[in-house]
Amino acid sequence: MQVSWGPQHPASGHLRFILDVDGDSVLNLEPDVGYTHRGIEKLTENRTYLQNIPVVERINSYCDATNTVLGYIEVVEELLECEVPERARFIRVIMAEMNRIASHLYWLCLMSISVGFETMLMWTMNERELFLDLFEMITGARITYSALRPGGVRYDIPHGFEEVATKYLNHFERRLKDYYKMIFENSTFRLRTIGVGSISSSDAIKLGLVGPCLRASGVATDVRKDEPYEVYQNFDFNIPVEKAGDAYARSLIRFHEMEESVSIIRQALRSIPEGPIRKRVPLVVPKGEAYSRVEAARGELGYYLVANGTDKPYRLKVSTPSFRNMAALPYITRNVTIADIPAIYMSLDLIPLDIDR
Amino acid sequence: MTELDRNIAEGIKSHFADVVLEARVQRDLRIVVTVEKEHILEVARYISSEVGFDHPASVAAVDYPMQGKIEVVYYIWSTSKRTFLALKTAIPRAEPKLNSLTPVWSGVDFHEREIYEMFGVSFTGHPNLRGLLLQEDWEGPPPLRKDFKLRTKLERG
Amino acid sequence: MEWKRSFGLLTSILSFFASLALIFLNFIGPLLFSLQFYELIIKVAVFPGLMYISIFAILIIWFERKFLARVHLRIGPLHVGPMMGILQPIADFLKLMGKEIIVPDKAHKIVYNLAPIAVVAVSCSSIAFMPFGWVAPGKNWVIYETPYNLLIILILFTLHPLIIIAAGWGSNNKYSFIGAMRAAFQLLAYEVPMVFCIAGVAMMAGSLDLVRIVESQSKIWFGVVEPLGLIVFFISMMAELIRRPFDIPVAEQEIVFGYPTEYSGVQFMCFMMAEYVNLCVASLLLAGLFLGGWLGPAFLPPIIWFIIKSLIVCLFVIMGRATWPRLRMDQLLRVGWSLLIPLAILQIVIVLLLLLIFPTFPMWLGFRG
Repeated sequence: MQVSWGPQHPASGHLRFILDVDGDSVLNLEPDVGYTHRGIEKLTENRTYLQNIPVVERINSYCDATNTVLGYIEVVEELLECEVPERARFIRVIMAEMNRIASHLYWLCLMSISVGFETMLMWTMNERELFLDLFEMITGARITYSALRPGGVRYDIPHGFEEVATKYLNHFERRLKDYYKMIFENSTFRLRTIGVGSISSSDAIKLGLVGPCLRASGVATDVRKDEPYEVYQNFDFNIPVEKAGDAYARSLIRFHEMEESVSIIRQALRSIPEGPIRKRVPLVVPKGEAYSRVEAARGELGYYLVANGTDKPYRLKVSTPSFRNMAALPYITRNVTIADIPAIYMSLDLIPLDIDR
Repeated sequence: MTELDRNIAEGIKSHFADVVLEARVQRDLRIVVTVEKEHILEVARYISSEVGFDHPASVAAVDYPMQGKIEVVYYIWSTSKRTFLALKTAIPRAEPKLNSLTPVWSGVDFHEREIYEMFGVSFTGHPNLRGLLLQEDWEGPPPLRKDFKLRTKLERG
Repeated sequence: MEWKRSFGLLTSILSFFASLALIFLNFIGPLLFSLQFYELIIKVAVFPGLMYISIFAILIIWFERKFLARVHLRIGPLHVGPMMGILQPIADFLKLMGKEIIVPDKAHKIVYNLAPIAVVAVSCSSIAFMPFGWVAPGKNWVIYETPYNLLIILILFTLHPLIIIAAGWGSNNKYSFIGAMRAAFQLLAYEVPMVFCIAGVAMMAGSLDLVRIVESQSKIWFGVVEPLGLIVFFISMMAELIRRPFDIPVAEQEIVFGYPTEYSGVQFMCFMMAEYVNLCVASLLLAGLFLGGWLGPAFLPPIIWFIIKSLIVCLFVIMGRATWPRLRMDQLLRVGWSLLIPLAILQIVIVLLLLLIFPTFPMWLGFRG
């Protein structure tokens, strides 16, 4: 029997899985994506570099806007060879890490509801609100900020931000302990996720998985360490690595990443220098090509930019983490039950917007 | 790091003296290797098994209508050497055909499908070469080629 | 498509009257032989009949939503009604009444439309056999008095998988069908330990009459003597009621909503109603079997004690929803067949050994008169 899991399904998001099922067990899974394809790569070719910032942000707007834009800014700045003020770099890192936490909280809410756990859905949304409030303090927006631009950032962090942020982070760290007790020590959650959708490290590398999915398989790869961008080399943080490669390991990695992000934000707030937040940059990007990598919440995000000496990109290719993690889906969903499909899908943290672009 | 990159580039260049057109280090952690399109599979096999570039990151295509070519770029990360390599090749625009690299890196499956759909490059040896993102009854030229015109308000009205 | 709409409306009206009629059918027997006609009407229409189960369902839905909201750090229903959104379930009920009934083109029309009626009828008729305690010496508040009430309630419970399969098959929807098959597996697997637990209690009390079983607990509750039976009964009751963590047949994230996926409006309400009536009956059953039923200190009437105990059981059932994720089918069956059934059998063996070694044991604890 063939079951169409999505695109209008309570847990599928805007994509479709074509499942070959025998009773309750899945024989084969074929992802059918593209329901939210907006042609962003084509759109960017018809807009100037500055106009492209909000467009690129829409690749993954509701989870991870800052990191998505950060990659684009990085690649443009590499071709422009412009100087960026130190304070701007710190603000970028603070925003990126805050967005990572917000994104992971969003993921945790989806992950817990994928195994039918409503309590965590509500709890995580509650704490995500704090980080959206912090974003509102900086940029005035809560989801799509467009706060980064080549040569710096658009908004400085306001007065009193540090106190509020420290208060929120303290509260958040207390809540993280509750989360751990509530979900990671929950026997039923462990039953549902341990050993589900496991992928070996060699397969994970071969398929090109990124981010927490790769690290859960025992491969310690993080762009923030391998190729430090912005000011990540100044901070002291760990990369959590797990061996099992199953849904539980992927969940645990993201949980520990939130703790690391909190520590990075604290360090950045402590050591942020005074100074200007942006520099004037030319509108025209010189001819050339570059590839930038940033560690977005879902993993490595790559931008390949070919510039032809005008104010518009000649070609902008986005290699999104969800697109790359999707490659694992057909491999790890063979001979599982239908009940495992949402848990596996959510544990990979696939966002259809991010896949389709 | 740059030293390591240069060594890798020189190693590839010397192993495939007649096939690799260019192997250079663009900047830190960015090796660019340009090959002839007929030999991309063997070069890919070599750099994945011998040099250790095992983690496919991205496949991009760029359309150059003036020069009549489409450039296809494979971006590969090496988990052991911790560096990044771009494997470039150019194919004629009139007859866009290329050997699929799915036997070497199975992760480029979806990327190649996307290139096939968006640029019309057909990858020989790809196990499942179908459209990915566009609707099933899509008609018209591959949308990311430069001669594809975006619909404007004027035409719609 | 006008005929289809009127057909749906007709079925909804029919379903309401048919459930009423089916409840009344159970009372034709006593009607013919007893003269207390008005008492019967009150029993059927007010307590423990229609009005009680409706109010119970509404209050429990409201309480569930409010309780879950507090656990979720939300507020929950707030604005409908005089106090804390207490009329929210009634508003939802009215909304569902006003919705169009959609019958899928490829559904089996008869089975599809009969299933909601049957599910309400079956679950509502089981309340007719539930004794609610004394109102006068030697007189029990029950709609249909029979010494086999426990057996009949169990048989009505076992009818549910049948109706659910009919609903899932008649909808002609893949999700519905998968849900129905899951429900069949689950309900059949968990009926066995449930019946075994009841057998343990019945052996101790020496009767299958719920009135006798409750009355024999005057000194000590069966839940204290047979804690294993109480736990196994509670778990299998949760599974029978399709409550989280056992709500596998209606798992939203996996199979949309399982067997009631295609139903809308009143027909969907029928399934919801049946679910909450089942909760009412099952919690009363657990209170009666293990928690001493309507026995309690004399400052409250027996019926009130019975209801309070059943509400406490409901509270524990609702708590499960707030604290556990859903199990998987294979895990559920493994728990059922390889843990709960052996435990239930162990309980029976303990009871048998006790009865064999100390034949006077039940009299000593006051279980048999």
